[in-house]
Amino acid sequence: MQPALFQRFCKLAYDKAGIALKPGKEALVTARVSKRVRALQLGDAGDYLDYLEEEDDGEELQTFLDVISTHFTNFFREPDHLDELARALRGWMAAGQRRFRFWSAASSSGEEPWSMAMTVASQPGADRTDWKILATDIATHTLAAARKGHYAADRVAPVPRALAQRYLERIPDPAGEEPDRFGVVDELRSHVVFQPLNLTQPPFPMKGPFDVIFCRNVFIYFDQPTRQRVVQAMEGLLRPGGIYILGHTETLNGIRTGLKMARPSVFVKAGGEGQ
Amino acid sequence: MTAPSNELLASSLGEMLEEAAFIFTEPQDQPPPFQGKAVEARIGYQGPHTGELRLVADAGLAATLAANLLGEEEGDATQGKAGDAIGELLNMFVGVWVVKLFGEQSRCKLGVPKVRELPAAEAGAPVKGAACAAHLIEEEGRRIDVSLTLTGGS
Amino acid sequence: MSYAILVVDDSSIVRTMVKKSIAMAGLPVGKVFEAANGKEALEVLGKNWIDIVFADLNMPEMNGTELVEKMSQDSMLVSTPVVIVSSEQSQAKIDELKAKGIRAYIKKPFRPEGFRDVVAEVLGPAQAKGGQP
Repeated sequence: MQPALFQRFCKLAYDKAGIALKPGKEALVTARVSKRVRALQLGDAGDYLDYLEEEDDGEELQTFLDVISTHFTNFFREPDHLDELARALRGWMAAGQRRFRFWSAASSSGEEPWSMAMTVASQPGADRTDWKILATDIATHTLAAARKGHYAADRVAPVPRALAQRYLERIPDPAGEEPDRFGVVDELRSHVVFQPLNLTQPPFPMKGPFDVIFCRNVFIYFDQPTRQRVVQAMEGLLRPGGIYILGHTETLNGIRTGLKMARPSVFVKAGGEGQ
Repeated sequence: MTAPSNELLASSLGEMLEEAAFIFTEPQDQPPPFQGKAVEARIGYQGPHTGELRLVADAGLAATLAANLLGEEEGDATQGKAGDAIGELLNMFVGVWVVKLFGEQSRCKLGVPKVRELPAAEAGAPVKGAACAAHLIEEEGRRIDVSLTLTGGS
Repeated sequence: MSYAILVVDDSSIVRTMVKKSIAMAGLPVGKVFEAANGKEALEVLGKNWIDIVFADLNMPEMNGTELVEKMSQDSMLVSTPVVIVSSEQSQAKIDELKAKGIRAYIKKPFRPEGFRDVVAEVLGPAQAKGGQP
């Protein structure tokens, strides 16, 4: 891809979604854009860019953002964060809290919110509390897949066996040709709400407050001013004493925030004990 | 005293849906038409002014509301509760609404919600003489309208 | 020891929500009775021992305020604690009801913790168990 064309894709991704494509991503963008070029039966990447800039309904733009921002995600990725969630929940329940609101901010294809749901649901006593998870993502296609919650066997392999037995069910291919897939059970579904959201455009429509916010492995797509805005908006939606979780390799270095680091990648909002 | 407005109706109802039922909506000026049946609820209040609030929701959204209020999956446990759910949402809404308008110390007489089913065509028609109105849309494109008619005082 | 409770609301959804919240509060609940208005509530109270009443205000037939007044005039019911669960947010209204003898007031939409705090206040702190949901 010509540098000038790559620059135009970068500008589009940044203007529309705050996604900062780094130099060196040319190969990734080229590969993913060429798939869309073929799917739409266009001539080349330049035609595709024209198409994106001229369409009225923004539908292909969603797809474009989807394909360039798809990141590797997995069930029970960085599982110590889920342990953190479980530990906090048990502490709050012991202190008498009975209502819990959690947010998976970049839920992608659903592995994170469903892992959170399994973790919460399996805590003793959680069935006698009112708990909900909000799962948001910018890509509506991905969100639909996340809501459906059906995965190939290798995708759900990291789910601990006891949780898999309780919260996943086998879904045979109706035609009997494809391998069985695995779907999350209905018991979890009423607890998770999926909602499209562009994280780079705060203020967010939600009022909160949330007890825990997972915002993992999404900052890599944002530049520093965008990170600052996102963290500030999320901090405002977290209740005092609430927990903010980033990806393992991420920090809040250089960001003005009242969030205090409890350990690397785990932050606490000052001011509250229990609910 | 705060003056009623379209924006206040929309933001108040949005907050109520999130707080009570974990349903997320956004205001929309040009909403999609109602699909199939809709559920309507009306409730009156008397305070420094007298008014009537009206909610109209897609029947499917009302069913989801019932399930979320009850903390159940939509199914047998929530069957037939859509009307009750919209009535109760309006009941909760009117209590918050009069405090937003008139403050905590004012005395208001609140009514009891009246609920009925409506065909889609009737549901989407603008309310005659409404002082303010708003449309909210949730993730799946389902719609809930709120409007206020002033019936006396000011 | 478990408590017999009466939930009074014209909405069956709210009655279920109240029952669930009470269960979440950790109150050891025995029998649960339901009524759709004040009149039905008085009938239940006339025939059964009730430890605590959770009642709405705005209901057809007989509203919550009238229910509270009737109970305060009945020597058998005057000491039965009544908790009002209503969408009325006005402090003036709440103060008036407290003067009529209600024990606590929960505003709708409510959270389960509201019931926990009220149960502790009305029936004694040992009844609202924080540690054992």
